Amino acid sequence: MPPRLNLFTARKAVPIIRQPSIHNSVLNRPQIGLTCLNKRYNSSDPKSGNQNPKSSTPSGPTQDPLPHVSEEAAAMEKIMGEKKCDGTPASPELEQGTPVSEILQRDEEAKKHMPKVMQDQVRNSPPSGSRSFSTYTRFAQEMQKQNSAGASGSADPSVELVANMITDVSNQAAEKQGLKFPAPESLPASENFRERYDSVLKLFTNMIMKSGKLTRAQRNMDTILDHLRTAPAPQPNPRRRLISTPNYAALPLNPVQYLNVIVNSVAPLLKIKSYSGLAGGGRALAVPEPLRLPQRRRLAIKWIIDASQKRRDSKLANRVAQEIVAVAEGRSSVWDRREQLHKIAMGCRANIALVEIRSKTRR
Amino acid sequence: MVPSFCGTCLSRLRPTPRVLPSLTSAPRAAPFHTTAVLSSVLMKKKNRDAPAKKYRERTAFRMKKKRHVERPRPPPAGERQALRKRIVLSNPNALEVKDMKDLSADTMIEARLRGSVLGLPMPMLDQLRASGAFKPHQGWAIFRRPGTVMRSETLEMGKNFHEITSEGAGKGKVFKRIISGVRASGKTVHLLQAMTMAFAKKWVVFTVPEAQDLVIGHTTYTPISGTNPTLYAQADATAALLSRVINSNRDVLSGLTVSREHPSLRSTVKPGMKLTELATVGTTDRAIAWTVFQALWTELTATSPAPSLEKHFQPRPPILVTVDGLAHWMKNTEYRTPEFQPIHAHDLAFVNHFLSLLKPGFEKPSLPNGGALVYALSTSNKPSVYALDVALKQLEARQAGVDPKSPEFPQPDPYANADIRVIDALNVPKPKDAKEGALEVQTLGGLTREETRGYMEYFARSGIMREKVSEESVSEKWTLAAGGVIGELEKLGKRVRVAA
Amino acid sequence: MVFILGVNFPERSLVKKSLENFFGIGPATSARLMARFYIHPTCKVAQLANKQVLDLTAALSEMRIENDLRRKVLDDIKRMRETGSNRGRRHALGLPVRGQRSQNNINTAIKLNRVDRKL
Repeated sequence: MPPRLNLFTARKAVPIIRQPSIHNSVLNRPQIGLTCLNKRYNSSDPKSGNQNPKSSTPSGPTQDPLPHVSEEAAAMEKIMGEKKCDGTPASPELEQGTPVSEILQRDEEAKKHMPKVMQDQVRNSPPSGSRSFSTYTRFAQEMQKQNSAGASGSADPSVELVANMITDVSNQAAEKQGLKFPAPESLPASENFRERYDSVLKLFTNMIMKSGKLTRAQRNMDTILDHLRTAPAPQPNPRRRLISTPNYAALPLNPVQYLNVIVNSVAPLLKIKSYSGLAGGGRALAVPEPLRLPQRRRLAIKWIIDASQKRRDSKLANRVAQEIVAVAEGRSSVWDRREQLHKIAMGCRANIALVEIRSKTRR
Repeated sequence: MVPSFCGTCLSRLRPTPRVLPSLTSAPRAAPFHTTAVLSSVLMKKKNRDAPAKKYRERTAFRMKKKRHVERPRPPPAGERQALRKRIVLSNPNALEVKDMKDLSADTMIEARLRGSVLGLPMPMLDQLRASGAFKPHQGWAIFRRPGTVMRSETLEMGKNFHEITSEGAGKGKVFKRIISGVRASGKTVHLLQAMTMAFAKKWVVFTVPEAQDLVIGHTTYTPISGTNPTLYAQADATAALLSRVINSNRDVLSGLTVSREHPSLRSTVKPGMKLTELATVGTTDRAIAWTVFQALWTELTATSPAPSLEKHFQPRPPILVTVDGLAHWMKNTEYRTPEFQPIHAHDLAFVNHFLSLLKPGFEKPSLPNGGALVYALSTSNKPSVYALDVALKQLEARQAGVDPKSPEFPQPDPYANADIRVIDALNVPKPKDAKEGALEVQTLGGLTREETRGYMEYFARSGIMREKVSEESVSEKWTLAAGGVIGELEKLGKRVRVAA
Repeated sequence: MVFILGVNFPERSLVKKSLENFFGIGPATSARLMARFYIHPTCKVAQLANKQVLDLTAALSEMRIENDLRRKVLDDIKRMRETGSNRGRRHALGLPVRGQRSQNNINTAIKLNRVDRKL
């Protein structure tokens, strides 16, 4: 049974996969371009269908791409190695009959009386010695071998040395297939220049930025981080604890984490949206709405920057850095702002139901 | 003609009396309107929001007067500058690097330590501070204690310093270097390392931390009488130099005494006085600061006592002179002569003295007791002086062995109007004295990859860089830092990236 | 407080600016004056030596500044008016003196050009 392998696609994949099983010989040939051409010609030769792995594309619209039912069943049986206990074949297709080709192979007499179509086919088929591939390159290889042998025979050590080197290199190339250097394992996200910095750090830097001057903002951010690094560790405030920070003393060692903790701790959970006409009569009602994480962080950073503007220091970076430390120690007005917002939200939480009712009636 | 009907309500109007309304009668209607005065008043709709408009008032947009806002008083004079120039050398939050060695007389010659970061000895920090070795924004503030990388140039300098002090052929040699390099390539820290080594070897250190300060017209200047061409003394700058010398070399100078007569300072300076006291005379009376400096210099460069004053003489130690920003000394200053001509920097006595040291001394070396001159020069942020560029090229050519008479020797463009004085100042012939080294130019480039690795490990061990120090990461940083420029490496080591 | 030519200057003020306070002394003159007595450009009044203050005062008293200069300017204008020169006439009319056009934009001339010019 011919393998269903499209040689066109296989040839294209050669430079990438370099499967040794099929194309090892191709690799070792000196004239790759030429052999490829030959290969191509031969593999698409329709007359060499018997020996050649046939291309799986049907040549005409009526031709069945699959082999005959009985042939397939025979192949299956061969693979599975199954037979019933009484010796009869497992599949019904095999029981029903034997393929004509098998009969013809066995019976010389029958060949003479076979239909004219089949006789023509046999007559037109190439002689048994013909190959599906070109032998030209193999011939060239033989010639090369003979030449080198002749050269070694002429006792020129340098030529032999070069030949040895060539064979060594080609052997090595045959052994070392694939990439020259090991492929990198999956790249971490930070290798992407857009994701180089921590997300909170990036957001904070962008919010400090004025007039699109990112470099200046980054310099300010560096100053802020340096301040966080060098300032004494914050004293925990029992009323306003930072989230998930058991060890306040370790915060200055990792200023980015410090910043993360601060921003996440003062980030509000929700915002107050006012719906007009919810209570009837065009009156607006305040309804709390949850925020997504980036929104929460953005608000927190905005509050910190706003609060820092009241400070006296002339440098923006110092003002913000001092405000961050104040937040860590629970002194900042940002905490009040957050608590105020949450209090209002608690007060008007009943209005959420009204919004739901309205959305239902609208439907 | 006025109709007798009102156009809007078709009511017959009362004929209004044709008398001029008295000024006291309340509102005046426009004279062309036909309605009665009273009804117009009644019909007027009151607009509550708009303010009542007064007549003869301007209607155009008016700027609001700025209200005086109470601002906090600015900080007292000098406070901002102090804050700006503050030098912080320690960060208690940073991790302490275990088994970090100190830069000392022993470690400065150990080639094994190349690429590792050595701490500056803690007792020496005050001396270094006093001599102006540290500058703000050098990034000392994020580490537990200040440390510097031992790069190949440092080790080479350490070896030279060691030779000068130790017994042997190199004893008492003079080592002259101009350090050049791009911005943040570690020139100033190289000077700092030189100072540290000199202090470790008990040398006397003279420093000029900002050469620019002498020429931008920020300190007093007076002509020195009897000089031709006129030289100018800078009393305040000299006094500052003297106080740097006193504070940083107190131990060494207090062990030395005045060993000769100084006729110009006869009233205040006597033989047998300590050299610290001599220098203090200059800081207290600034008018004679320059004379005192000259006296101090002759004392320190003396090789033998004056006759009949042998009991006051002790052997003088080698001297280190460092100057940061040499290029500023190669052009006209902001000072003017009485004829309003600009004064060249080489006419300032202070500058002239330290530049003349580059030349080989007359009869004996310029530093007879040995020592080193290390002058730094930036190639990035400097005044552009064509003659200096040529002079440096000439120095390099001479260093490479090109004969000054050969055509390959770089010459200034005759049409470029190069400053002859600058070329002359750096045109140093080969010294006759074997102890005197030739003037050399050394360019500080980037660190090598091994040195970079040591530097990055220091960051990691101080808890500042939270990355694995591997071949790859070091190589990446080395490349990003323009081939290991140390100031850029510091930025990269400090910048926190996402943990991968 | 330091007196220069009878005027009291606060100690923190620059010598350059203090000199430019006098009518008739601008940046160029003050720079030349300071160079004459070896005063550096950023010198403050407090840093002046006594001798330098006396020298400055002496030099200033010889210069035509303040009221002398004002009087001279007024005299010059008066002289031009009296000789009947064009410049004198233009001063009297309050019109531009140095050949500028006078159709538009002569407000400065109206403000300044008078026989009894305010200085």
